[in-house]
Amino acid sequence: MTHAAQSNMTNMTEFYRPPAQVMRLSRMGSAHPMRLSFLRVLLRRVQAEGWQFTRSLWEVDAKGVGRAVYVAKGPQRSYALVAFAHDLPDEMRSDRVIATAWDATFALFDGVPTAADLDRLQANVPLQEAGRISSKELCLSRANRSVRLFAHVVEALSEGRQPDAAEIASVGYLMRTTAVYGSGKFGAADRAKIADRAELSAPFQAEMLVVWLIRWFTVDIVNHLAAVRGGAKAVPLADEMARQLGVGNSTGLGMAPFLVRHPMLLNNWMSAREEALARVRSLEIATPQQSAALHAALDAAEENAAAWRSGHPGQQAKLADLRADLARIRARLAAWPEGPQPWNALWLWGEATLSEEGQEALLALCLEPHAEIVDGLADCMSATEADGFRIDATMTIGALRDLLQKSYDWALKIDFTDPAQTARFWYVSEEKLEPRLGERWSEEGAALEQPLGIARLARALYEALDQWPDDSPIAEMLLGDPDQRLMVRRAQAAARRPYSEVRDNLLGADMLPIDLMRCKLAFFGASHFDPRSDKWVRISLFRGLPYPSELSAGGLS
Amino acid sequence: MKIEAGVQARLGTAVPEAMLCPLSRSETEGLAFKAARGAGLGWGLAEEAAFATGWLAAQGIDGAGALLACLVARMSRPAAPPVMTKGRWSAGEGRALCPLATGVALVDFAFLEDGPFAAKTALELVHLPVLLLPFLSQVAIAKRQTVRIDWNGHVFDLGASLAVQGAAFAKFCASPAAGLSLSLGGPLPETPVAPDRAGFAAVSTYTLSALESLALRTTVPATEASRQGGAGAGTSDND
Repeated sequence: MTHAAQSNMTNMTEFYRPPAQVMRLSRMGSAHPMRLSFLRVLLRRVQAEGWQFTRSLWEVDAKGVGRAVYVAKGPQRSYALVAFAHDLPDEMRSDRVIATAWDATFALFDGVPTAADLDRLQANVPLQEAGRISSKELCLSRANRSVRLFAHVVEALSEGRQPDAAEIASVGYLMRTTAVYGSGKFGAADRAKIADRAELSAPFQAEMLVVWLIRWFTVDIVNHLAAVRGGAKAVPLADEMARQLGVGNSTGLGMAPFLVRHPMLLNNWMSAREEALARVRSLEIATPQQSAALHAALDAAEENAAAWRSGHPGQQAKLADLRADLARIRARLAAWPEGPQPWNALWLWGEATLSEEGQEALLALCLEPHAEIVDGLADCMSATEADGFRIDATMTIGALRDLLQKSYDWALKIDFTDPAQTARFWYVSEEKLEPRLGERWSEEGAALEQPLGIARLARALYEALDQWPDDSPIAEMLLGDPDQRLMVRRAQAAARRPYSEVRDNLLGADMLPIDLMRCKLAFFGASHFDPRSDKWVRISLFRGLPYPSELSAGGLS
Repeated sequence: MKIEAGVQARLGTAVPEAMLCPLSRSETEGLAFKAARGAGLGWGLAEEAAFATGWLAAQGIDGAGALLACLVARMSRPAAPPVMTKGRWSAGEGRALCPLATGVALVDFAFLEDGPFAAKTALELVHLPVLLLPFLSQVAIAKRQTVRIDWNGHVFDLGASLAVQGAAFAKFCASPAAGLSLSLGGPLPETPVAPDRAGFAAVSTYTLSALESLALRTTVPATEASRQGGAGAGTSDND
């Protein structure tokens, strides 16, 4: 990662937040979407490169059943969302992974599909996990209607009027996806096929494209059904209404272990964001344009916070913190900028004054005016987990002990003799092969625990080192005790990647899986984080942002 | 590269097309990882079994079939770590070396003084030596030198992939598991890896179902309590 020019003039080290501060669950669970979020990266690229978007096929009947194709044409390649619309009885509608039917199903095709491709996909995509796709496809997805809003919108449009703005605002989407699979799942192309393509090399770009094109489909399908029902009386959904609709997403525990299973990726996401913050903090001045952009970002954040609803008590408390902190930030900006390094002054004030929720919101705000020093960091956010695969087995036992003391000090401090510190265990359910969280002291299955309790694994490795002489290479230990390989590999990779580990006990009684999910979803660019429980959330993507058709029509900022 | 049908046959993998399941690399590796764990390997070694299976499949070789045979052998008799003497590794007691345990040890010890590549090292008897290749390839990449495999007067130089080794590799697969010796060869040639699935080895339905049943051993059956406490349970999505 290269530093911006100003780093030549300033010692940057004081502007970085240490991993011990950044990588705590409660702070990760306060993350906000920002300039480097993956859907923003996608939108910047398609806009800068002048991508063209067309709906090339619409074969949907009066019941709303059929298929459609949306083509995104970039400078080098095209990608097509193939959508299948279904007529789903209410009793079959479930957002859970155990569902077997959906209101709509999708695949992202690499190129422009032929009729034969469409027929092949029609035989498989509606089945989702029970079907097979091929290396011509990059993603598989499905979505369910927001029943109440979808019905309201179709009814209103069919009667020749626009839907109620308050109804639109209270839900925020017509459909919510319940999975967006990529990277080789169910036969799809492996990540290696697309990793070297400029337009898909940043993380989750194919998945973001899928969701963005699904958003277009959701508007088309309500317009279609309204026209069927209302005939000549029907009107299409107005642009300003459509703009307020994103795509929802329901997600459960399946997403939570991802950040723990991809430590290099986590490191690169966090490092890029922290580098961006450090660059902004190091600036000597705030220009009038930057100041205006900060105010505009604050306006948008306040509007967003006002519209953000959740029934979850924990999230309600965080929302109260956020709204109060945004008001504090507004008050603080009355006398800003002033003095040298105004961004750093603002940041340090925030750290001393605001809740974690408010601090992380301030981070997102501070990045907003600085496209030129922030946006390029998106190129540093991918990772190949295989890069850290080979263990350096020449390292001595003593050196590994030092490494653990330095990089895993947070783990070695945890008292694992306290039953509360090992109260939970992560496992995979036989029924759906999905991650679950069990209660160790009251449920069966802890013998089949997944290796996600990293703190405890680090502790076990640390203790195992005592059996071996300090100057012997760890190759000797690994020969006799191969069960340590996982943690040795991880620790060696972490030593060079300071933001790769979540520095909390993922087995503890008070651990909240939604904190992991919020962090990942904020990097996606999700807004309106709404936990339905400690393990289950709904969010919104692309709400308030342009549609593909708008960009093709000449571009929007 | 395409491994010709004859080699597939010698690997025991020439099965009719209808009985082959084309998996992605991530599916192949995910299945191998879970099956290895289900067969009792530690998580870290299971990661290495997954890497080896995916690497072989990317070369057009039925790594999943080889892994299954290896796991079955390990379940009937747990693998012991290789016994290392200078110039000779063996499993002791007339047993064959487990290729996974041997493969990771070859990589681990490769950079130690007096390691297995400091001079020629003979492997007394190796079960499924094809499973050693991914690990030897790791050594070759890290050392920036090919690994030379000698057996019964034949020589086979392995680099980052098998891309330029068709004929020599065919002989290697056709030969018995005894009398292999390893040393370092010449500078590593450039071998770009094709990212596409063309040439990627499919898995036979038999191997798939056997590995899947091993993988299922890593999962926990549901109870009514776990269903009720599961993410998203007890709420309606018809809102």
